Amino acid sequence: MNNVTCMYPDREAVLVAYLYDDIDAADRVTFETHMTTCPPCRSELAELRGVRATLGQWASPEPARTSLLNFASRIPHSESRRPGAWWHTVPVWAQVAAAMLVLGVSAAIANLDVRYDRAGLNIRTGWSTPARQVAQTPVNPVNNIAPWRAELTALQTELRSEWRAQAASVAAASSAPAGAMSDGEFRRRVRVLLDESEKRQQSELALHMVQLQTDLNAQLQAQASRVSQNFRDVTSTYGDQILKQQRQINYLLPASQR
Amino acid sequence: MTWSDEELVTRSIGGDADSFNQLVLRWERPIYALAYRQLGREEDARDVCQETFLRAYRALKGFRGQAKFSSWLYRIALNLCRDWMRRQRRTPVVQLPEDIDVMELAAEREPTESIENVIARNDLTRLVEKAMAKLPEEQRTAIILKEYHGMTFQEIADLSGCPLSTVKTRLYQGLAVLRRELGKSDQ
Repeated sequence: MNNVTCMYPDREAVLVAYLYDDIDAADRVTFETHMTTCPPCRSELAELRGVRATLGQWASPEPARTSLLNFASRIPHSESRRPGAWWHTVPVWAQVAAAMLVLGVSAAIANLDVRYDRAGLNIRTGWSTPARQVAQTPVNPVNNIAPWRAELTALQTELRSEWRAQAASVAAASSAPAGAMSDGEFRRRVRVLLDESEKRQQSELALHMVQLQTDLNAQLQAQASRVSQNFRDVTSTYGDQILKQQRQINYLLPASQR
Repeated sequence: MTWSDEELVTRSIGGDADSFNQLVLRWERPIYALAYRQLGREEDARDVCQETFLRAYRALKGFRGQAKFSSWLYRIALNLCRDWMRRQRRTPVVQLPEDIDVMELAAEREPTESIENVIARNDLTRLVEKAMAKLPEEQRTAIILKEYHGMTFQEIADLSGCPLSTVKTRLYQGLAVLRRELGKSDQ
């Protein structure tokens, strides 16, 4: 093949195209006509056909049929084995329970101290106070009535009495005979009525604000009580474990950090 | 009813796993053969074949249908073979003739085939594998795709990302090398 003397245009490409029968009909006819008078091309074509015949003997082994059988259904199974995906199989309720447990134990280990007193809601963590003391002095919402309740009641009473006094004065002003009033007197009474109305609206608004604040404080107190109760539950349920862990931590921590 | 590749792809994207299984059954053998002829070792060919279908499955939604599914699959397999060879930094594996186990060959032969024929066929296979391993990767790929997968020059050009004329040149040069290498063994 190296001693080709034929100068057929684009010879190698045409020869390969003819060899594989991947050639235009017109080009085929032209090349076949050329080969009748070109021994080198005929010879090389025969050699290449021999190479192809040898290549045809090269059979590849059969793939193991079981290797990819039911391939698609096996993919999710293998995907699910990826690290970190195992928890997808755990039910949601179990995940929530585990999260609550971890939260509770973490809070216990951190020696969480939740208090609600005159100073308001107070959450504190640390090892300065042992957890046992927290359990022995639980927050009692019944005995811990805040002093603001009496102040709010007094304010409410004061506002109501003021409101009643204003209503009485307005009634007295409106009971005077209309015919005896001059224009100036009429304008003055209207102004008084408007002022009283404005004051009354302000009083109502203040009363609503006080009521709102009372409700809000009551909710806060109830929530604090629930947090405290939950904490006591966790402490009583996992008390032994917490104490054990606390002892281990105290053992591991240097004395200066306790 | 026989679905076309593209119909099976559409059904697979829609969640029908059995359709993708049909695609695997349809194309497993050609892809495995391609990988085997490129790499020369059965276990590597099996791994590449499996990885090809796994990648195809994962990327199925991205298949736009601009090319044939088979061309897309071949491209994935060829890229994997190329990566494998670069990672291994070596040419395809050719097992030495000394590895031939006559008893094993006898067990594998067709009932009508003599042991002598089996041995001769096996020798020829080793010879071709050895000659093919000497080809540059581009020439070997062109010959494999044309000779064993019946692709047109244009399909090979599209897969290889080169002009049509380059494909023909690679084929001619590859065949020339093979003729020389196979001729050595005749002497």
